[in-house]
Amino acid sequence: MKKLLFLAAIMACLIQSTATHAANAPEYVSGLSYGKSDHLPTISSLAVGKDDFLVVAAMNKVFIYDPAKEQSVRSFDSGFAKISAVAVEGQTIYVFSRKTKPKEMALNGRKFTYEVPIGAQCKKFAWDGTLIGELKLENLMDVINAKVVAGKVYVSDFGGTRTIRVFDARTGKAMASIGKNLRLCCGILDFAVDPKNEDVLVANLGAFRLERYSPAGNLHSFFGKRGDDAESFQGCCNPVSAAVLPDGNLVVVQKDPSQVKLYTPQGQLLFQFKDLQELVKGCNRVSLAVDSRGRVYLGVDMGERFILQYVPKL
Amino acid sequence: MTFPNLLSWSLALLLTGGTLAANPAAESETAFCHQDGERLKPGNAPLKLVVGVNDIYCKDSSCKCIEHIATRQYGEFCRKLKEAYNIDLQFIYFLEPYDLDRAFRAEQFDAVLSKPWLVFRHPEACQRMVRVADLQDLHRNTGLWGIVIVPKDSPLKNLGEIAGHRIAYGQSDAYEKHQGALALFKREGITIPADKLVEKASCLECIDLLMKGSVDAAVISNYALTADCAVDITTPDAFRVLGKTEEMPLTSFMIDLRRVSRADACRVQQALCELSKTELPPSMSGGGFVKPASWKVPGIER
Repeated sequence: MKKLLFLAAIMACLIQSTATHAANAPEYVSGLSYGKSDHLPTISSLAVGKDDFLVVAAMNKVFIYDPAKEQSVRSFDSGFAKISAVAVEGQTIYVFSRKTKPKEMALNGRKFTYEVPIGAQCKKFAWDGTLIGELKLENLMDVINAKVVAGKVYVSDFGGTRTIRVFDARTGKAMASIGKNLRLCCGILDFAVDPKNEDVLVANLGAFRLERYSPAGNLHSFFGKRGDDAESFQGCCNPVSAAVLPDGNLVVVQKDPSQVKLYTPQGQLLFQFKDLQELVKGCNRVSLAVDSRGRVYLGVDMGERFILQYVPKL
Repeated sequence: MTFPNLLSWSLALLLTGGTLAANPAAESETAFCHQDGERLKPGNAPLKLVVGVNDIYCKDSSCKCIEHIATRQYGEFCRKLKEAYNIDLQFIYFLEPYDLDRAFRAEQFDAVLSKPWLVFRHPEACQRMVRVADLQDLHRNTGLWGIVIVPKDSPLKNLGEIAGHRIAYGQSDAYEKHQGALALFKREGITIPADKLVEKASCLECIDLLMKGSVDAAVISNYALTADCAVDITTPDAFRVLGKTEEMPLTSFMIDLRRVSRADACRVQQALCELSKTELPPSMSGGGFVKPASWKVPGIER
């Protein structure tokens, strides 16, 4: 009888702990939609800057949004035909573009043109859109995503080393290369940098995993697999992007079928965004950013292009 | 038999022309064929079917990585089918087979165009679904099978040598690389300890493990290295094929006989095959539809 009571007590504790955890799990609800009236061209990248203002790169332009307003407060032309990534640190906006050359290819009797990356460019702008200068990044072949954290520029060198490369933000000198055995497909290589420890989280989409690397490039941990359950990832290859929330939890995005989920740093599923609209169709990137208040911004590239905000439910 | 059961059976028999349970000889055969003494008279009245589609070679249900291979588009074919045969196929495309599976189980379709195991792995579906046509790929192939691969420089030289080694293979929703693989190992007398079998839902994950050296061999779908995201990751030259599993149909047009009469199923079969033979648009990328090859689902009886 005593044993039974003991077991019952343990069970009750377990149930209580699960219920408490569920009650504490973060919840998000949809917020504002940015850029609808700006008629945004294809969105390539999002970043968060001064006062949590949202910075959006779309084709050749950079749009700045006050998080309280759905229309941009200003925009400026980057001088690039197409921006591939935008990043912000302090009051400096870093704008990146790929250099490519066309290459004719043939398969099964069909001819097609493939854009081969041959280099990367980076311009720095002041917060008001004034060009400050250019930054030459040492031996970089490609750039499809970028972040600037603690004086370091992190870029996705998809067409070159197929890793995340790290550079000194002041000199452009190469510092590290992060990501081993990445299975990259669909032209996607996205990542997040944990500001607390500068770990790099890479969406290894071909392996259906999110991988955490130390600043030195050592694989620390990973989670994810393909599967039909809520914790797993679906589609031809996912996840495609990730971001670190202020509390250390992770936002992880799946392209098609579109899903946004919150995980603990260890990979435990906490919450899945409900009633999420389709963000992109097929094999396309999903731009993602989070601000200091844990608000999540997602680029939508369907018939209409805009930025969707999700806010923590209070 | 209870009254509701009797009622549903009567209804099923009525809807299917009284043939669901009438022919024990065809119990596990998935291909649609005329039954003994059966004379179907396909009509010409307008026929509209809602079809769930996941075709690996179709532009609308495939990954961008293989957009140069997955070039098939059904729009022109369906337009001709409607004009010439009064058959209106309303295609709903699914990039994700799990989503198609959910929609199929929710009985949202009159027909499904996909790998047949997606449908026939559900025992209840075997009672009502039939394959009326198989679809040819770019090389006029209609078959799907699993291949056992090892890295090119692997010391494993033949299939028998994989016994006792670490093997990555598919999950049970992928017949060619799960049930097919286990059947192959059994047939060849190859024993793999359970703790050395690693189940993964995608060929990509199996290839990832193989490339990293976490497993010694992998069973993947025969098209995975040429018509899947793996084309972005590796090439067929990086591996040697040690064996193949039994062949099954790659993509079939399957009709729900609870929603479509046998006469109409016959009519759709004739129309798909005839149009493919006589007026196949280039946008169909391949040879189009042919009559279904025999394929019996092992262990499942109608």
